[in-house]
Amino acid sequence: MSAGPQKDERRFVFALPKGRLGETLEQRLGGTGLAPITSKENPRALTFPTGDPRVLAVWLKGRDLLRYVARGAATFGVVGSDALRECDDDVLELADLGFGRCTLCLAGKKGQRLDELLATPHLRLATKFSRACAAWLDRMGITAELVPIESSVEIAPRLGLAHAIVDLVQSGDTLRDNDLEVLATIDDVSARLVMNRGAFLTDREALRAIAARIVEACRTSSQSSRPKA
Amino acid sequence: MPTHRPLFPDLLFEPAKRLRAWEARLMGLFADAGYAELRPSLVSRKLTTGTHATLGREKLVLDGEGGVSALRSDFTLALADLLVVRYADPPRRVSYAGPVFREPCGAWEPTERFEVGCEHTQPHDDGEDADRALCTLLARVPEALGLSGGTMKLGHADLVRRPLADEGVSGARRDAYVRALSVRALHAVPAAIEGLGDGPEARLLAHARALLDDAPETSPYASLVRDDLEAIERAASVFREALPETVSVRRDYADVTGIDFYTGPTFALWAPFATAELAAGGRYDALYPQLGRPWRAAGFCVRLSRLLDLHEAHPELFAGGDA
Repeated sequence: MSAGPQKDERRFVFALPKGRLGETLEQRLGGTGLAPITSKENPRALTFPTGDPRVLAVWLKGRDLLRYVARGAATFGVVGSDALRECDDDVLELADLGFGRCTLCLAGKKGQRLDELLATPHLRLATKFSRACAAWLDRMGITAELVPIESSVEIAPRLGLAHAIVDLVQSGDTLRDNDLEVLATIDDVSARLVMNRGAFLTDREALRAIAARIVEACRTSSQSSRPKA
Repeated sequence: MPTHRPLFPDLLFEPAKRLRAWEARLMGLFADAGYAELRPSLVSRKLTTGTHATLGREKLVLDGEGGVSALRSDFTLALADLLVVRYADPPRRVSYAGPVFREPCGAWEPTERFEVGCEHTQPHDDGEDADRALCTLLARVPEALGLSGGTMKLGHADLVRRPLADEGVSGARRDAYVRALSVRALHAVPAAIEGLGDGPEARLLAHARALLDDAPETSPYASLVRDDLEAIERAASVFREALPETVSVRRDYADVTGIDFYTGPTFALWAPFATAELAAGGRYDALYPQLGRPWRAAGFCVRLSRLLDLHEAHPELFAGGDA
């Protein structure tokens, strides 16, 4: 049986990221005709029509989203640059949408200095951003054991799983609540518009126009409501 | 790939039959154009040449004699190794078919991949327009595969390489600039070239914007790359004449494919829903001089494994072309 999509007049699939990034994106898409139209009659739906008859919307998690777009199962999508840096998937990165800004940071126990931490014999860092972390360690000429963690990484130092963590920091509240503080900034992160390479090649004019609508909507909103530091 | 072992695919009946049929059609097409088959060994014993280091992502194996060899990772390099050793004056037209073993480019790509291709070698400038001949031959590939539509993408990495060389950009900055263009990330260009100085940074940013906007004539380096743009137009003209109407021609001025390998126009066949190019090639005149021979060469390769993938997911794209 074919794994291809069902016949549908909607030829473009727009992948939106689940979570806060997606909520912000959905707000900013208002008025573009590209926001998913949800139905109370079918709360378990996974695909949604949009105001553009060519575009079907789906909600996906970041790294899955990239897989969908790279494979062409989704035509384009929005994802954090953190997820983009952690994957091998070949997608076009058409724009920095200017929202969802945060930083990828090395955070250690409150009061600890960076040089003290880096002098730790057999340094262990807990993170789910192993590629970005490894690249930073390489640039700094440091060796460390990376402990892969998918959630609640902030408790790893307190429970002795790792000496410090590498994670996304927006307001810093979660770090403070866990007696951690930023020791170094590794990368700046924001939302990116990604697109399937083959689709952009074969449907360039239509997809350029859609991309321009998304970029315009996101940048206009960014100028009127800067995220909190 | 229809298989239970993605890295080393087993082809069960229909895909195997389809692979053989495509191989036979393409090798027949090449034979009609005067290409004769060479089969370089599946095992590559030369691991130290610069071209291997640049292009090869070989799977290393013990060769049974206490040494380490590699399974063939690339036909072009395997052919080059063979031709420079065996021939003082190389055969002008060679074709090839078989598997190569290379580290996967994407999570779903197998290590073992099936390819068919051809190479046109010129030991001296014999006046023959090999590029035109190759483009004409490649234009017949979609029909031979039964592919009902697609896009032929044309690029030329010198559009990027020359301005970077002109500004003296190398190393990490060059890599970052090329990487930004490869994913069409104009927003990443300023950071890539930061520190070059106001003039070069402004020029290279304007150049990137011109290439990505399909307006190379507006680039500050337009005169520097004029010959390269003309080469793309010549190739486009040949493809427009030779391709079926269902296959469109698309220029991609920001294409940086093989920037350290290709020396002329590059071309790649895409189809709707394809996750990577289905066939690709171009001119690579620097390869044989690196191996001590003053020969020029150009060629293209058809990625049969990707075509099998595409056929499995979208058989409707192969109307009338089923094996």
